[in-house]
Amino acid sequence: MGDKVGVFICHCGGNISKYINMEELTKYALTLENVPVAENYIFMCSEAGQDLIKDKIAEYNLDRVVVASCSPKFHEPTFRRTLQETGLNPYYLAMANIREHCSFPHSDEPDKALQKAKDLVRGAVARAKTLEPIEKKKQIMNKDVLVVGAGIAGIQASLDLADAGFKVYLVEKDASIGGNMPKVLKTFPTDDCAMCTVSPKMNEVAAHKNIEILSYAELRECNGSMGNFEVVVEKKARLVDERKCVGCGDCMAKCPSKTADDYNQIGQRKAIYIPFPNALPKVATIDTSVCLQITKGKCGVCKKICPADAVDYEQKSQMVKLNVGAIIVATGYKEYDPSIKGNYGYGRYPNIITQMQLARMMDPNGPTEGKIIRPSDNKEPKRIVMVQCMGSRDDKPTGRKYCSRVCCMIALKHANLLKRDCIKDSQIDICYMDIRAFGKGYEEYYQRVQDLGVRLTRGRPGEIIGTDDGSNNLIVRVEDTFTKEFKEIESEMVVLSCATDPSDGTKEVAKVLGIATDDGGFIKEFHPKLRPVDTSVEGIFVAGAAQGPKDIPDAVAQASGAAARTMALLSSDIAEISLDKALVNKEECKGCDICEKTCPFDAITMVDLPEGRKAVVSEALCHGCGMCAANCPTGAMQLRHYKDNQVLAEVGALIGSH
Amino acid sequence: MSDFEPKIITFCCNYCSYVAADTAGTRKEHYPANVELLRLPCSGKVDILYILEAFNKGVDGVLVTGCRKEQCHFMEGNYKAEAKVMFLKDILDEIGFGGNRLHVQFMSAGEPDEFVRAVTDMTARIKELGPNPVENKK
Amino acid sequence: MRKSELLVEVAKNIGIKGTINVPDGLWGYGKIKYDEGKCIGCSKCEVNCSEGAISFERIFDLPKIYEAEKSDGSLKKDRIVALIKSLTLKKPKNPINVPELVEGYGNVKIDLDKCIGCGNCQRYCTGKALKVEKILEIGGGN
Repeated sequence: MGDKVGVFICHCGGNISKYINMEELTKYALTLENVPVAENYIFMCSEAGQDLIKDKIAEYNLDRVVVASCSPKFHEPTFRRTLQETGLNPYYLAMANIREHCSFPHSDEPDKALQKAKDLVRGAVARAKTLEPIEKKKQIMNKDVLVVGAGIAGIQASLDLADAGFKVYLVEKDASIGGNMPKVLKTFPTDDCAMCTVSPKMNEVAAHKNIEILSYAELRECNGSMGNFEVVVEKKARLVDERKCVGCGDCMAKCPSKTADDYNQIGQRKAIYIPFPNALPKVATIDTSVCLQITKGKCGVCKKICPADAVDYEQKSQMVKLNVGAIIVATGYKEYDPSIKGNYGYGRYPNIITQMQLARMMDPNGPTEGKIIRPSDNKEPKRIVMVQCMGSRDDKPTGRKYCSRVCCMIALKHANLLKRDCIKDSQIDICYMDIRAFGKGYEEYYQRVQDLGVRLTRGRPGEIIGTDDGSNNLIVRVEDTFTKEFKEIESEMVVLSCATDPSDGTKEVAKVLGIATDDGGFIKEFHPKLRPVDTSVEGIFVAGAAQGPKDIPDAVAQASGAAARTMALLSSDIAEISLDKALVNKEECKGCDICEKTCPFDAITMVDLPEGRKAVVSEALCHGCGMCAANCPTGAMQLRHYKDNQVLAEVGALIGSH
Repeated sequence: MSDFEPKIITFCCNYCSYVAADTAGTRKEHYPANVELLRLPCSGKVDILYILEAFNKGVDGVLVTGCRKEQCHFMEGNYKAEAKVMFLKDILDEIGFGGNRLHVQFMSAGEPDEFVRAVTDMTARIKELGPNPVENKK
Repeated sequence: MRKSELLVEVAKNIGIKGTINVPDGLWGYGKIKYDEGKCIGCSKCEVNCSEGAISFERIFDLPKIYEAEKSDGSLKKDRIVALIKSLTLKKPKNPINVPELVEGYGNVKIDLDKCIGCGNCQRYCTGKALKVEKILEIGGGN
């Protein structure tokens, strides 16, 4: 039990002190039992503020510390370090969140804000007195890294790490590495060839002695903690032996079964396929959902024709166990499916396509060999309308609230390429809400596109309807919000600039790793400004569009950032794991097995000891959720730092009637 | 309406509602000042003991907040919290204390509006119910 | 006829009246008694009863808990029951259903006709709520 608690109240440069009377609060803190000293200061998190805490700890021989300031989400680690530097256990700190939970929301009621601040400080002091030291367990740091997702972000992070000498396992869900970048043809604002940029990087990854690629593989399980993760990756069965296949494509030519091309998003591909000519590894994969040999048991054409004898219908998926010290999630994005919203008739009118489909058409190696043709009659459209913010900046349940950040530039890039290269005599209209050309060289690009004669109409189209003359043309109805004029723009093809969604893999991987996501489903960063590549779990980092919509330069920069953070972590030989985990009091445990049944991570095992059946917690597997403790009928199972007496002390003090 | 100011304890999950409350604060969203927040690692850590102890100490209402379904950081803590709250609500109804002084609300870290709505609604509900009936008798 | 019933018959025949205390270490005689106040709801008794005499119901029998003997109050569950009692404004009449995912609460139902007094439930009972009463009632006066 702590009996000398120091209370340190932060003004936050006015953010708190403007609304809460600091002197009153300090005086009040001093009236609390076992509080010999209470101080307030303009910035407690500053060096001077921390020095003040250290001085008072020494002067009053304090054994517990309360800091009343901003949310512990920001500075709990800072103040824990402060305590540690004085020799106190870092877990002897309790925080009262008097900024986010008090001065900010109650800025209109200073009296009530002061009263609540007193309650919060009283609660924190009561809690502080009950706090117990928690030590750290030291383990040897595993220096290998798992990178999940081999798009441009995953590739960049892997190369940075591998160049620095770290062993990298690069896991990719799809048949080829590369992600979305190879699909986009050209990149803004320089209009250089995306494939020419990414392909050498893909080759570099494949050739790197420190990188092992696991393609057509998915993350299935993850246990352990920072420094010692144990992961299970499922290498799915391609039904083609990767070592034998030479990527000649003979099988694709002869395969009789076709299905929608999920790589190009237009046209069809064969059941046995190599997604694109520069695919890596350049090996064929059999799509078991449409392969006749698999679904009907008869065909076998690919096996007969394969000159390398690589086709193996009996191949099974393989579970690969890996031990790594850190993980980078770079699972990327997918284009929002405009049929979710359904308002513009995507899927109903053949001549409405998405920007990604247009990009695939422009690609000389793509499904139309670079020809821009509208789906209804394969004719070249001369009048094209692009509609921005399809699904973005839309707070309806079917929409996405956020700005997808890249669609304005994608539309401008495509308008530019159409006018200059593909269909020089075309008329391009872009209907937009705002053009966001924020990156380096982007605004200049926007100007150049306008100079080409691309027409921009500020307004979100109300509807798109088909003409009834059999032409399959479309009429886009839009109000120009500058001129207040209603326009009906007739076009031969409409291109939707769709929102950016987290990839399906992003959601799955977040679940397996137990890392938090935001309301858009993207990986949530630990701190939006100060720790933008850290996730909610120590030792797991995020890079690229898995964290939120971003363009290629930002994704690459963030990937290098995540790689650097990983290297900083792995530069230490020892992984320190905080033991704020569940703990069994063996004397009180009656061996009822309820905790074992409750634990979602299988961290508890029941052991028959001479003194009876007892629960045992694995510190490596325990995530510290405390569900076992909440279900324990005897009170033997406790979560360190949130023991019943610690929580109840705070509950009682917050209510304050006793 | 009386000038009764209910005292409400909100148990917050470290990963969702606590963050939602932080964001609500940062956005200077106003909500009643009589709501006290207590941070737990997961809503699944909410113990029937804590809720009963809070009522026994005289609190007028208890709000348990956790992650949206399928979003729990620890897989199913929110479901467990909901089950406990439902169970305890039945008990509190049966003993005449009133299960409607206890409420569970799910929200994600990105939903500060949901947090503000939850605590505002809770305060209104408890104002209508009046003070803690046992505390009142004491 | 079960061993215990046979014994009662024999005792009656040779003129023993009242009750017989069954010595420690001798199993197979006597009947189980359930103390709801001590039960921590682990349901192990049900699993370990070879005769299928015990069924564990997901019911928290509040009225019975109120009547039950007070336990020593050392368990968290005891504190919870004490708090429920102190918040009571009217005496509970109905048992409460225990939802899925809530553990540690339940009610044990015993079919005494099936019980053979083997004592397995007592050995497995984590809350010491089940006990074989080692007394044989012979009947026929005291």
